[in-house]
Amino acid sequence: MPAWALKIGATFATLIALVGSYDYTTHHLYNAAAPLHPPVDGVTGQVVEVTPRPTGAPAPTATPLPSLLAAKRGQVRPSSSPGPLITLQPGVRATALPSITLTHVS
Amino acid sequence: MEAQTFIWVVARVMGLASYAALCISVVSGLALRTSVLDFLAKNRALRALHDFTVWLWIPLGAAHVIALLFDNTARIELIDVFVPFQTDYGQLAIGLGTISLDLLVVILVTSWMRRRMNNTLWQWIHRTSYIAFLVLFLHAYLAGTDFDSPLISSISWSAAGGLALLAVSRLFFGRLAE
Repeated sequence: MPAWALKIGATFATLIALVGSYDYTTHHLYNAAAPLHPPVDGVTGQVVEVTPRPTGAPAPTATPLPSLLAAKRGQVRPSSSPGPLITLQPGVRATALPSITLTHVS
Repeated sequence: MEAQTFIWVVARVMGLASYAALCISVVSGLALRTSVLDFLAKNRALRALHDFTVWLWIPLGAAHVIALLFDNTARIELIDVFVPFQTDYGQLAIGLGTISLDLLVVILVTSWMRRRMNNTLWQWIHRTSYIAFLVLFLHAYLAGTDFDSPLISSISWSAAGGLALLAVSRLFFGRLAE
């Protein structure tokens, strides 16, 4: 086989890999199981206003949570704040059922 | 698609495509020293292919790195491209990519300067391409967002396994019998 045929074959194989990878990644934009999860930068607690504010009412201000502020390079990123602890009253027992993760209000 | 999402897609696509192009480059290089592709072409044509593959994997690899530099989420800085283990997350996974890039740059530059170099020295430097490919594979395995996909994982592992088999046969048996 001549060299030019090998070069065309190699280019074609690379193009197939390119197109195939593009097709795969556009159909799988986000992968929760990805090995690397870089810290999110610029979390400022922005509030999106969805309902009209009454005239004259003070505008709500967003306060960023300190635990969510991104760490700069070289700094240790603060961990999220620990969850609230509950104390059961005497006579109340914890259930073995799975905890409720979704509530619905109609 | 948002600009940042597009950059993220470009980084992933270019990473996967450059891996494929590098596999072709390594297999064509191995074919020069083994007779594994003798059924396909003569050594002269294989050498031309090996030299040509540079123009496939360099642009793709460069696009992978440049896209990551512009990706606000990945937070890769220029120093991370050349100095390993400087990132504030995934130090090993990203650092391996940096090491493989550094090795590939050295291999590439010395190949272009081959006629002005001592041949034995050039050969030993060029042999580090096996290490560079191994490190690159580990980088892809540890950092690759798409590496857990059965399709991509099976193709990547198969390619790496085939190349490893060829490299071991080259190491222990030299040029295979005609």
